Amino acid sequence: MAGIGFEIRKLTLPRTFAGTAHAYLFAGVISTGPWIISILSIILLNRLLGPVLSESERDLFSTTITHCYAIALILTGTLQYALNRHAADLISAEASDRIYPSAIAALTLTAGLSLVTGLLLFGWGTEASLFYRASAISLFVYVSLTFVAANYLSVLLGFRRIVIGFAIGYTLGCLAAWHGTVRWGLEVGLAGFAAGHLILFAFLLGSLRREIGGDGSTRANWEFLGHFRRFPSLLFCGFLYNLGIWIDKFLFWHLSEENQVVSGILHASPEYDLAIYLSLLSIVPGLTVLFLRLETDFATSFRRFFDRTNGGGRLLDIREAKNEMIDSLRSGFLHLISVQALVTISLLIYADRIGDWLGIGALQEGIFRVTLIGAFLLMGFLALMTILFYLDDRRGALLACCAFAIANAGLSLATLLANEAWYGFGFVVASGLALFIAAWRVNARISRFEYHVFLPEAA
Amino acid sequence: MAFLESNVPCFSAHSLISVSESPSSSEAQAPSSDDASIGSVFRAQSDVCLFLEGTWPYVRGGVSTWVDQVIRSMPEIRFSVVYLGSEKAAAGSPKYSPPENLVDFHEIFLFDEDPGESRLKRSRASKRAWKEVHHSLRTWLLPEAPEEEGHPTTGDWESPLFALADIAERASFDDFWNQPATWELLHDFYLRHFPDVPFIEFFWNARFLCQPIWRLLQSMDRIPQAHLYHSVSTGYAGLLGALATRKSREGAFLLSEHGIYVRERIAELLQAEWSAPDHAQSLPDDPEGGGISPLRQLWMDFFLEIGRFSYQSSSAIVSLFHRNAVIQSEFGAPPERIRIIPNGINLDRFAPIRAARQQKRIEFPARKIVGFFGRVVAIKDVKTLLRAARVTVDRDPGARFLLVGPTDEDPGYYAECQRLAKDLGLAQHTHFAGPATPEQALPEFDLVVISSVSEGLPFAILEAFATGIPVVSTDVGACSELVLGRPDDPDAGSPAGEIVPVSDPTALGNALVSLLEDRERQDRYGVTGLERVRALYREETIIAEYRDLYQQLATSTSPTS
Repeated sequence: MAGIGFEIRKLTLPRTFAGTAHAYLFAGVISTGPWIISILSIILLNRLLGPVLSESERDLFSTTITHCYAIALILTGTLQYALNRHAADLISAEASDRIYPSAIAALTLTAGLSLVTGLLLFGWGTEASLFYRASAISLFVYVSLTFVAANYLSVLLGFRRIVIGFAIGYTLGCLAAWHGTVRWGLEVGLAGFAAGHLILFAFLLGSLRREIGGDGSTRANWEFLGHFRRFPSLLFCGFLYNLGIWIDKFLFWHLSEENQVVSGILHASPEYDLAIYLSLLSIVPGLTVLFLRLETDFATSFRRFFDRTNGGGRLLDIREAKNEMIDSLRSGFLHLISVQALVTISLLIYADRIGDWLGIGALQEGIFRVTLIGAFLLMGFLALMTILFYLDDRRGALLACCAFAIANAGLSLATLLANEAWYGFGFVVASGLALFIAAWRVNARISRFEYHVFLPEAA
Repeated sequence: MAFLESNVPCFSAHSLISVSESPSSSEAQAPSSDDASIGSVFRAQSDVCLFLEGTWPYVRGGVSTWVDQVIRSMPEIRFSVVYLGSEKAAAGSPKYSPPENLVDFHEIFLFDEDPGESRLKRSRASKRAWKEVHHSLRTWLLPEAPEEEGHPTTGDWESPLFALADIAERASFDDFWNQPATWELLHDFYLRHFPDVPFIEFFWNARFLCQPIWRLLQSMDRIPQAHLYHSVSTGYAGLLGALATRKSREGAFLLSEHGIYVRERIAELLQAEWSAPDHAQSLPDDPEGGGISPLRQLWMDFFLEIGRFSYQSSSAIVSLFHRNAVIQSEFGAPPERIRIIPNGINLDRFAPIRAARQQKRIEFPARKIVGFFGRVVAIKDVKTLLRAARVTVDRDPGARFLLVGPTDEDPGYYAECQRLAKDLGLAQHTHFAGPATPEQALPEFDLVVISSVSEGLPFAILEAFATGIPVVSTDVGACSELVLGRPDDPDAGSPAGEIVPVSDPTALGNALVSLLEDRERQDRYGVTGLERVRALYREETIIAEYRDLYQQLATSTSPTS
């Protein structure tokens, strides 16, 4: 008898989809978390140390910390999406035992990169005592390591450990910074703050090891570099998103009329900085809603979609599941927008009182009002970016991030060249544009979601 | 391939799929390799191109025996072979050595991963090409006026397939499959024909259905040139042979079948337990209609349609025996094109074997050995044979069963048979001897048994007859024709053995017992069998018939060479 033999084997969806989506959520939220914490700690330290430091010392201290966080966020943010994707792929391939060796390798890479960057930024670019510069470099390296470790822990859902770690690390760090400064001066204060981060990092690493250390093997595993090659868009996306968030500040630090040369290449622009940091703090309620809604409603309906598809649903059933997903997305987004709108509007109304209370000037108050709206839009953009990653639209996410970074750079520059009345509008328009692009991509993607789910390799 | 290079070093035949790896070397060698290939610049021109699916040279069996015989018996004809397999990894090593007159050998593995990158660039031209492809597919698969019945029907295969072939030569299957327009087509096809089927199953079945066709189309431009294209089954081999012939415009297409491919596939589909990991409940056949699940029906329709297409594209159709010819015409073969050429056997080879057997029978007058001579696989129904052996041994404790033939093709089935023999308490009475030549095996047999559930025209019976051995066989394929005589046979009345129903151990056992008891009847049957083979199943006659047919077909068209 002639004829080839065959059987139909593969009757499930490509594996990567359902498992990986989760990781992106944390990437979104976690990348925002440290950024909020950094703003808070800068403001807090400013308050704590205000009475004991001279103005120039205080400026140096806060500018150093700001630069540490900004550059560390851009550096680790670049790696973050790709690392998360890799970790999530390992989880869905049931190879979780390879995550810890990957984390070791990723931390080694981060340490190397941040050391080089730190040396350039603080070793070469800053004019201060050797001890101060060494402390600044170590702070920068620890901050970078902390972000990467926290990120891995978030993929493994170790939120409690992250919160505990940050609470311990920051309490100790701020205390040490305050005590050290009062007792022995600025250098020791900064070293103390860095030590707090080292403790935090050690705590996170210990938690990671406890969660997934397995047989205790610490051999580094560099296979995630393959993901860098496979998904270069994730690297660009992470870089551009974080660059976009900071690019307007960089421009203001160096080009605004009010900018100060704090030390070497460390500049500051106090009017703009404080206003925009306060605005960015305003999105904390929105972030909380985003996290909760995505984690509960949307993630559930998202999983149900895959379960129904894999479970042998008819196209009709699959469509129905998709519509439920769209519904939950819509109601979650509305919830998010309304909570954030309430917060933003309240702050807009009471901006003058807040300004008085914080003792900021009229110019800052104006920038604060404008950037509050920008922060509102940024919140929406961040939420939609997370959805885009859920839907595995890497190209769309890259497009939105790219537009965000370019628009924020170009428009902020334009407002700087115009006059003070325009300050902040660059950020607002850039966030709005990015929001618009992300919304468009989410709609386009979700309307053809079945196609993308069944044919993930298709463009 | 290594297969050819080993014995015919001058020909660098290459796999169709992997040709892109070293096109220059293989193309450069071919012209200098064969003086006969004048006029073809890049590949060896052949007289007959055979399309073989899942058989020679990788799989043993009747079809392979026949292929080997035909190629070797016609040294003056240059053959090329296109082998179609499932997966390269599962093919193993060739079981036959390449004959001298095999000038070209290609292999295509239909379910292997996509071989390499697409060469189709994104451009306006390629966009237009895709658009045309999808348009012709849509008008073919989703005609404006839907058929009354729910089943997808197919009209003209040729134009959409050639439109596809044109682009398939440049694009990978994934290129095609990932096109949004392909998805829309799939989607609309699903909604029209299968709205109640689990979509994910439809999706994967559709993919498994389309991918091999794409592979075939991809290899169209590398089919060896020939005067005559000859597929040795319908199915994928028949489809490719038919398409290659239509494309060449000058060759003739011959279709020969040992079994009935379509019928075998349908039987397989009805039995198959499909692997459906998480939702096995969704595959049972439609409970309301009491019929067949729509996806199985899709596969059946698919094989029926490509069978019909092959039959209707053929210039001539060969059947081994009359009963199969009738079935072929039921599956769409034009009856006037069908002719019957049975299998044949070289009698000279068997004369010494016959003598050796006679000698042994004189030496051991009380010997009662029942011989099984074939592969130990499910289709041969060795289990029924073992149960019949139990019946036989119960009534005649002196009977022995000797099972000769390869056991490695389906190791699971072989293990089950061994266990069954043990459970039946037959360890002392049965012996699995492994593969052996007729010279080794046949002198040991007093009679030969065929217990198959499906057969064409088995060589085992011809070989038994040529050795003068009577045969007890199930009533399948040409077996009754062979054992009892063809209706047009002059001595149709005289049997050369016994015929029993399929899967009936008692009937088979009883027939064996009664024949084992009666040596005189055994010898009488043996003589009849030998006479029958001499009259109707001589290799020389069969080969001559094929040679005539080849010549006739090759001259009926106007080959340019």
